Amino acid sequence: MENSKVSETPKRNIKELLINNFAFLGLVLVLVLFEILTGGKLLGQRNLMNIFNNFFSIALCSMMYTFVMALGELDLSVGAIVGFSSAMGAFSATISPVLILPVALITGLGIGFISGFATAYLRVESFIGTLAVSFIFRGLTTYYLNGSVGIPISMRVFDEDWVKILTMVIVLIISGVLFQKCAFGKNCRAVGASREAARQSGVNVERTRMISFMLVGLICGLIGFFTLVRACTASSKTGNAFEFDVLLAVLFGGMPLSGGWNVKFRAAIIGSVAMALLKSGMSLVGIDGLTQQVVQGIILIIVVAISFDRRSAAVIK
Amino acid sequence: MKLRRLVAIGMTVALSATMFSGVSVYADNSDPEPFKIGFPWDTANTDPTWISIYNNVKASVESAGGELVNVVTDNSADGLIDNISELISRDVDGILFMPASDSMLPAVDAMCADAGVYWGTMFRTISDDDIREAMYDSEWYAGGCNEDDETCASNIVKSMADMGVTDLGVINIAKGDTSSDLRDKGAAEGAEEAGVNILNTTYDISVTTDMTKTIESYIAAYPEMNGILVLGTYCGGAIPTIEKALADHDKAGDIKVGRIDFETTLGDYLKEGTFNVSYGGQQQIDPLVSAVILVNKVIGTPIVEEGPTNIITPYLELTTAEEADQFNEYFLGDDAVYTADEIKDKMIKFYNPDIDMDYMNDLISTFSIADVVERHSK
Repeated sequence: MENSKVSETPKRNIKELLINNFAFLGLVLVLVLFEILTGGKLLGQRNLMNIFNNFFSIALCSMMYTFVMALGELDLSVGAIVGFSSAMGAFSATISPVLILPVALITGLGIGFISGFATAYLRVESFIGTLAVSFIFRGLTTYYLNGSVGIPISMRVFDEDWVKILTMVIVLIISGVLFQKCAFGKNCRAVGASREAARQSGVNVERTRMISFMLVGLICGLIGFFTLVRACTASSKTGNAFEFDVLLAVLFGGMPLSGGWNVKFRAAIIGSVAMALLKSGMSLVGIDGLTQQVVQGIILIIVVAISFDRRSAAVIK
Repeated sequence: MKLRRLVAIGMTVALSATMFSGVSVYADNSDPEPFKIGFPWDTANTDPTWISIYNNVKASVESAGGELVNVVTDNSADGLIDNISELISRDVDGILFMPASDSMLPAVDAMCADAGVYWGTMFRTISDDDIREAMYDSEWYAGGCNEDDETCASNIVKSMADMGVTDLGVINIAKGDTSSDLRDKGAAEGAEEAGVNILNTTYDISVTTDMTKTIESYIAAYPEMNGILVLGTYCGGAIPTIEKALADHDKAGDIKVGRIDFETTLGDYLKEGTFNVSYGGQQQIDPLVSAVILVNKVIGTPIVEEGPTNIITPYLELTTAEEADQFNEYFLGDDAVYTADEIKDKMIKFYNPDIDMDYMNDLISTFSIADVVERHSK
């Protein structure tokens, strides 16, 4: 009896180690697999910036999305916020290009406020509330843009690699510290683990939820700005399906949908890198679009099956 | 004397080296240098038209010994910019794409100019005067094809008016798309000329459920509607969806249906008499010739020496089931509307120095369903 317990413990430890680090292992697997399949082109100098460009918007959003995921919520409006912020930024450029960034940020923050207010104070399920916000702002983007609006080509100066790398580092530090070291990040996880327990412990649950959605809105405003200066045009399709890219990235990183203390900030980074590598790798290998969708779907099912927190699910039931 | 001897020795060595390396002077000139053309296209779309567009571009590129590099795109402006960045990093020599708007083109040109990559467009003209002027001045813009969308839309409205249509419900691609705007304009002109009342226009339908809802709304809101015109849509299976919605409301055959851009099912509905007219066929010849323009530029034998090459491809009219069947067989099969060998002989200036704008326009003017059937029937 004693012997069987002793032999089971290392097995269980290895299993737990694998499950806890499956996202990282997945990332390494994707990296090695495509590096071999592409004959070393994946991490070639010219493709690295390409991977970074794929990674940039998704990673920025995923980092702030961590706060919402920690609450056990979803935000399905991120694509619409990027599109609308980009459109408002493009309109403001007709007055002065200097206004593009502040207008995009304020627009994003404002929409985040609406999503947060609906979810936290009006008690609308985040899934429904943010979906509704998405419909509203997608419609408004199409209505106001009436096609597409361009901005001066000189604004492409903000699409330089160093600007984006610097932005990424700043957002990474701010969001990482906020999530790991500050009371706000802990409050988000506490609310996600048990809303009532967090309230009893003195956490202002509504304010925490509201601020989380506003942070996502703010970062989407910033992404809207970078999307705009990259293409120098805002169109009704800007930010289309972006919410799914972000969701796929955080889930691929191993972030549990159930929220709470199991949400790790590193999941946002690992997931975003893995997504960028996967997309670039599949493209370099020459896999057609249909197969790419199938591969992404299969990976999503596997990842969610592994990362789903069954203990929390039992408590909820 | 010494110099002459040295030159003679040098020439002997060079000749011997050429012979032993197996590369003849003739071989150097018989084919262009290897090249790669980047092509952002949605290869996840299984619509036969979309597949045929890819096949036609591929035939053009391979006709001159090039390699086609595909990246998957959503055809949005920001998506295309990412695609172009990726293709540049993959060392392509030219990029062919379908622009989402005029306003994205300066960014594309800046990226391609930085990388020394030629670019070309298909299906779209540049409507904005300032942007057109700037792009035409760019040494990296090879040109492209487009259709006379405005005239086509005007003509199809007039054709429907001749069939007795007086009140028309319209479907179109997203506003801001150059083709969409021009087709809108043409339809309005045609309607005014023929005395047709355009009841409503719905834009940017991409899924069949939305198409069904739109048609049902039209039927409910406009009892007087006796025609539906699809000026353009990215919704796969648009016509079967419309026909189903009409049949469900006992309106099939009573409401005339027309569309710009052919699709595979038209023959069946033409036979049944529930579909009436379509203008299209440009979806195969346009990307093929657009790719030809870019390939000629990339290999150093541009069709037009100064500035970009722009060719207007014709719309074909489809009104019988027999034509529809021929279209399905010869335009949407595995073969391009001109095979790689035909393209090599007729459209690549490297092999055929007689090619110029007049030659190309003459060639394009003979393009028709019957022409493709004649060349490719076994």
